[in-house]
Amino acid sequence: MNPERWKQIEEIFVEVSEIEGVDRESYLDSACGADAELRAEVESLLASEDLGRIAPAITEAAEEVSGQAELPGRMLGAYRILDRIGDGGMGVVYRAERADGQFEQQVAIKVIRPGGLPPQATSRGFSPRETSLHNCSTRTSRG
Amino acid sequence: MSLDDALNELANFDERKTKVIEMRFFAGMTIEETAEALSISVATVTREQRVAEAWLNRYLTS
Repeated sequence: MNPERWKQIEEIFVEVSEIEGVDRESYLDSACGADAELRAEVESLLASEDLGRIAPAITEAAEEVSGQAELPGRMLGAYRILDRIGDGGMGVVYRAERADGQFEQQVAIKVIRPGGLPPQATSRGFSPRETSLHNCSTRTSRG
Repeated sequence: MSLDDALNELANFDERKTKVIEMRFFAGMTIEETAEALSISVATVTREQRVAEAWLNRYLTS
C-alpha cells in the first residue's frame, strides 16, 4: 500500500466512522468524489470495524505454540528458547535469548496454556509475538 | 491468513499502528502506557488502534 494513499483512506475512514446513518453516504460522496476505488477501500474498512477477528487469531497462535511439546532449542520469532524455568496453572515460562544478532539480551517468554485464561485476558495478555516481548523488555530495562 | 502475516503486512506501510496493536493486544499495555511508550497522545493511540483493528479484521477475513 502506498503510504500517501493509505493516509487518504485512513482520514476518510476516521471521519466517516464518527458519523451515524445516512449522513455517511453524503460525506463519502463529497470526500471520495469519482474515486470509486477510494470509496470501496473506506467502505470495506467500515464493514470490518466490528468483526473482532484479532482476539481469536491470538488464541489460535497461542494454541499452535503450546501444542509443540518441546520448545527448548526452537525459535520463536527472533528468540531461541533455552530452557523451561517455570510452570504454572496458566502456562509455562521459558528462558530465551535474542538470536538475530540485533543485540544480546535474555528474556522470559510465557506461553499461555489454551483455556488457561478467560477470553478477555487472552486477548490483552501474553502471546508468542516476539516483537511485543522485545518492546516490553527494552522498555522495562530503560526503567 | 495468520495474524503474524497480517501484522508484518501492516508494518510495511504503517509501522506505528503495528506497534500500537502489539502493545495493546500482546503486551497488555494500557492506552496510557502505549501513548507514553510511543510519545503520542492518548487520542492518537485510540485512533490508531481503531483503524488498525478494522484493517486487521479485514485482512484476517479475506
